[in-house]
Amino acid sequence: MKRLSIILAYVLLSFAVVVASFSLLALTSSTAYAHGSQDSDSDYDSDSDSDNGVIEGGKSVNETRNAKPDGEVRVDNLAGSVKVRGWDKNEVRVTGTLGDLVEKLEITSDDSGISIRVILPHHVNGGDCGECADLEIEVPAASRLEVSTVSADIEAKDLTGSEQLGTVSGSLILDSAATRVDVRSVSGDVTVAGSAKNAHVTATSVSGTVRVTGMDGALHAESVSGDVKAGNNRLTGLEMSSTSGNLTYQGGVLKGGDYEFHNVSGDVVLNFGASPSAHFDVSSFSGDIDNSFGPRATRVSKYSPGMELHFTSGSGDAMVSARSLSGDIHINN
Amino acid sequence: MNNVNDNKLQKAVDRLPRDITPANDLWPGIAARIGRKQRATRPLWAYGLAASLFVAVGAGSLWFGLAQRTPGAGAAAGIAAVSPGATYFAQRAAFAENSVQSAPNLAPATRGVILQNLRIIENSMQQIEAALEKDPNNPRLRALLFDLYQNESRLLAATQQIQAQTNQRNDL
Repeated sequence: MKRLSIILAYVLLSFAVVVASFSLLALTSSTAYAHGSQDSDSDYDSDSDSDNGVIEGGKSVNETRNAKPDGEVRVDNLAGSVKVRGWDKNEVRVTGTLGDLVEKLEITSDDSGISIRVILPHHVNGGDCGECADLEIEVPAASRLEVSTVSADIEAKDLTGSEQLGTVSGSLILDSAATRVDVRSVSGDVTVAGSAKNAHVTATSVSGTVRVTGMDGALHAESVSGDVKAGNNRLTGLEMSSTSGNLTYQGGVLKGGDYEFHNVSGDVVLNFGASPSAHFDVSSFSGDIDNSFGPRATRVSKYSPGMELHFTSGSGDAMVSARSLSGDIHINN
Repeated sequence: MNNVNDNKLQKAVDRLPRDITPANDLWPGIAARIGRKQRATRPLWAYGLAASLFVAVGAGSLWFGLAQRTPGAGAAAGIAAVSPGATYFAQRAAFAENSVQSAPNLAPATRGVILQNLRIIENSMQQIEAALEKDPNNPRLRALLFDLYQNESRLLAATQQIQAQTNQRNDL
């Protein structure tokens, strides 16, 4: 009887937790920021127009904070734009304008770094705000940057620290010297140009176009319905994928490199510029395969109209694999 | 020397009884002790875990049952009608779409983009499943299908992340 009571109590408790969780989800239905009142950390000196790190809306911004050379800089802005540039000072400077609907800009500091947040009143969401806040931010070049927006466009350049940028519908343009880059969007286009050696870059979008050029290292680039394009990179590892968008690769292959292209209904276009030294493993279930060098694709399955192509070009120093369901695959030198 | 010892040992063994009949009343005591030990090693939290699992499964079933009535489930039901082996995909599609439909803080445009692309993934899964019916041992088709599962989970994860970020902003 006692055990039964314990079980019953646990069931009721668990049910209460589930109900409470759903209730909490239902209550959080506003897209605007809540009111914030966190004061800036006194350990960080400031040179600012504000006394407490809070700037009211409808004003221009000119704020400077001391910063660690490799600290975190976190930026959060729903709508408008965020432009971040690395510089050689151990300071973070924020300039720009705040729209009339912006409640305030909040700049706070802790041991890990500096947070910059554009705060809207509860009744305003990013869509109502239009160009909420246009911010230009200078940060120490080795800062670890995190930017999150909803519709605000993001631009970043001259940074060597890790970069993690995300937007829902804004565009994202990154000119990076960082070795760790993670950029993601839902419907906005993503453009990454890299210059660091041995960088690891992840660039994804749901419906936007993803473009990556000039980087050195390993790249993972994907979209669901958007196109994915990579060109003029020096890659030792590449994984490009889409579901219905097209994949376009322009460039050569490196010795020991591994290059994978996956698509479902979109096309795959590989332009190597010259005959690459690589093993090729290419297949399409119902699409065509064109090859401008090496052998022609053949039909190998009696169950499907699909084509396969397996061959080695040159001494086979790299591995290239491409597969699709119904999309065509074009291999050009 | 070894032979002498072996002979002694053999004689001792031969003196042992050939079989031993245990007392009839031993087993109830053993069973009772085993029973006590089993009960003692079952921790209290196991009941809680079992109860939580039960509630979670129940809530999930309820949620899924409601999803079958949502507009998003209509498209999935249409998929089921196309292919007789697609019931599983239709149910998964309904579940995934409902999780996006029921996310309270997504902007309509964002929700639309996510749903549209979710359907692209689901339709692609259907196409690959149909292809696998023709060519069931094609490893590349299976690999593509696996990619799509990953894409789907990433899309749903992105939805949850947007949701979490919005909640975080609200909580500030």
